[in-house]
Amino acid sequence: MADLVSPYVLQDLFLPRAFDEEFSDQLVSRAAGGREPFARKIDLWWTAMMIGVAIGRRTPMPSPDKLSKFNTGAIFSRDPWRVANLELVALAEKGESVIADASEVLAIGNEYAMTGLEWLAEELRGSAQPILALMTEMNAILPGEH
Amino acid sequence: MRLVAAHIRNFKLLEDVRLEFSTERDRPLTVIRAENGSGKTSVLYALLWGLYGPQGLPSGAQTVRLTSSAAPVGVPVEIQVIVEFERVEGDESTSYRVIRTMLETPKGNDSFERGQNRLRLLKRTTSGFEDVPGDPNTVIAKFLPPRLKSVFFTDGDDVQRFISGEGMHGRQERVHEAIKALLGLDKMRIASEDLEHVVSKCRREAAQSAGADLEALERRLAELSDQIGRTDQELATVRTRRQAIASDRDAAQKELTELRSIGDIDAINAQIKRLEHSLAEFEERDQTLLEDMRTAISSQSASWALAGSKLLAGFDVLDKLAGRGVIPGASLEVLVDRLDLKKCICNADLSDGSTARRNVEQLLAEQRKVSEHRGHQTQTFHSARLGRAEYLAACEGKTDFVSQRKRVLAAFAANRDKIKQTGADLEVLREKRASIDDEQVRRLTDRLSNAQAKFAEASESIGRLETQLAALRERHSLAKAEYETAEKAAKVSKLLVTKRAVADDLKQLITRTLQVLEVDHVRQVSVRMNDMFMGIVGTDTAQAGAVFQGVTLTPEFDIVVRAAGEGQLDPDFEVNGASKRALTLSFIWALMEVSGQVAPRIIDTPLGMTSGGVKTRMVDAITRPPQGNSPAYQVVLFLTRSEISEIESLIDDRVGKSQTLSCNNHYPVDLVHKWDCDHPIVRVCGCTIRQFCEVCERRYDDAHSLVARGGHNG
Repeated sequence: MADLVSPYVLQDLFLPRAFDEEFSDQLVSRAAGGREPFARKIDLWWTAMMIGVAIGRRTPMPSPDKLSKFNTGAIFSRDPWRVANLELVALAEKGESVIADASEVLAIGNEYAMTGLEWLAEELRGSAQPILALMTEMNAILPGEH
Repeated sequence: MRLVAAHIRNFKLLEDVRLEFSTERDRPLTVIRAENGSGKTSVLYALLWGLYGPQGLPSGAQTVRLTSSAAPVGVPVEIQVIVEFERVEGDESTSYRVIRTMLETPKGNDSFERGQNRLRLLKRTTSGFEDVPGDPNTVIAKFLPPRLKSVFFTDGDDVQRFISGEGMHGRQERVHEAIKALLGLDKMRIASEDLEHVVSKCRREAAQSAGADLEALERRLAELSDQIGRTDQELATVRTRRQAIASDRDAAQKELTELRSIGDIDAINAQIKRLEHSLAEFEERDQTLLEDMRTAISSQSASWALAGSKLLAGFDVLDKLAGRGVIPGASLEVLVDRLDLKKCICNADLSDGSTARRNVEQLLAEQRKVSEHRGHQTQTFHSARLGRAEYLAACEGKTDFVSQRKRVLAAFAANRDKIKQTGADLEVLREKRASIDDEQVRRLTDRLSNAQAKFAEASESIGRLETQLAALRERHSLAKAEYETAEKAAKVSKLLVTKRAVADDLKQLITRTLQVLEVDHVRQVSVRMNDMFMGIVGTDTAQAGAVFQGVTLTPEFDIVVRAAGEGQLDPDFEVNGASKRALTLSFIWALMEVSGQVAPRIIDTPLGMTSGGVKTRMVDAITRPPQGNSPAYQVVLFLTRSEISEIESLIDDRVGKSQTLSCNNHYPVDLVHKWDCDHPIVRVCGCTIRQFCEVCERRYDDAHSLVARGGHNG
């Protein structure tokens, strides 16, 4: 599976700086059983991307000076299925040739993630129990649940 | 005695309050309308303080500050209560005025300094009000005995407590006290004792004139009379003491039972331990469920649930490539293999230098260029196919994210409920544990055991004294007969003999009358109380299932509530609040009627816990104008708007004077208008129960259909 991940190893992963500063502490924690829904920023980014896909809208990435890098694609080596799913999204958007360009695949993922992050900010801002809020509010975007 | 007016100054928030009371025979009711926190209790206390001084206040209120909490620290304030009342004796009515004044200087932290309270009692004469000679406290006590203030001045809760709360002995004591004082039986007892002195004196004089023998007999008789008197007195004292001991014993027993009913400390500790263990488990489960949520949110299953259609569309692209045989790209390995074997799969020769080998080598070079791309596509295809299969299987087995999300949320909610409930249960148990004061239980047990021992001791003394008294009376009777025989034989002045005989007859008459009166009056009060009570509670005794069959005042001065089937109900525990109020009011009213006493009956918030027919009948019974020659009386009720509700017409018929008390602390939440006053005060206005004005208008007065007084339109 290492081959599946390798095109992305040198790709940087970003969160909008404003979001990172306002929300990451509330939403990400390694402590088990906490109120935060994500153990790692990659989990936040990934869920945001899937939420963006569920919403069905891509949001352009902010300019590089408004982004903060949180990891590289090497992190996908822990969950290689995410590369496959990321590429499926890109394939659905751009056809078979897109896989040859890891940066384009990731760009599509990033744009969906931007939409998902906006949704998360909207839904979870001020929540005392973000994990519960997320689980509950997902009802609105899960296909067939709303 | 009937109250006419009161003027209260600087008593709590009553800065300057004037009240008038109805003295009309046909309209005996005065209504002071006031909501909670509008100064009702302060008015009641002010009247008690005005008439009886600080000792007249309930024990808890005797040491509290009487000036307003807003009064500035260090500035002396003059508290004054003026009560005007009238006394009717025969056809004559006399007006009196009580003026009690005291300086109080507020200090910090609710402390204060007080000066002496000064009391004046004035009587209206043709030349105006003049001081009544003698101690005003004594005169007022004669008009309105302080020990009966709880009968005349009371609040709804006290009305209820009169017959319940301290067991049978406490009730008997209060009932007996009220009966003795109101029926004047104590006075007759004193008269009987006075006559005994007269008889002794006559006998002594007769004996002195008749010689040594009769004198010796008289001394013996007098000595026996003294012994009987002393023993009787001692018996009464021991009986009173035993009653007090019984009250203390009952109170200790009740308190102990209440404490013990809380539960056994070891059982409570065990329960607490169990609940703490459960709570820890639930809290651990809470953490686990939160972790399950976190895992689920970031799972592949969640991705498929959220983005399933898009992922399938991508998968379709790869699937088509696979369908066309573009992937998987396995041709590279085949070509390398065939070159190694130097034979094509079509059996063509691929040996070095052959044309076919050159062609295959050229094909291999081309394939190497695209293989990396196809290989990646293949891996993606395999991984996605696996992911999709797992997701579909999860959906089938209801272990997919959507199902899991519902399950975990439901489990989480249920677990949080358990945590909340267990936490609440724990809190209750911990409070229980805290309220069990072992030291208090030990003290009460000692007190109870001590009281039981003393009660037994007192009972033994009573038995001994009763035997002693019977023996003394026997000896007295014999000595008396002996004396009378000797008196006849001796030459004693007929006048002295007649005087002694008359005094003796009178004494016996009074003693018998006293016995008859006690029994007769108690019976009369009992009958009247029963009529009134049954009239209020509205029970048809003939009806099957009726709770109350009647009430009786026993010769032992206890109030007994008879239930269906010849049973009795304990007024402490088995009679509801409204019926307790009805019972106490019936007793007080019956006693007043039978005694013919004219005294105000002032009750704060009497109608709590009553409603509907009971409420109407209770007010009807306690405000009904006296019939025929029955003496006039006066009833002052402090009522809230909700107490007045439903009985307005009845009040209209009975009321002679109405006023309304309001407190500006209630603005703006309840009061509509802001008063021109920057500190909390209570004001009185002349509004009746049907009216409102700028002083008393409240936000929900619409619900009571009130009208503006004096042209004010609200």
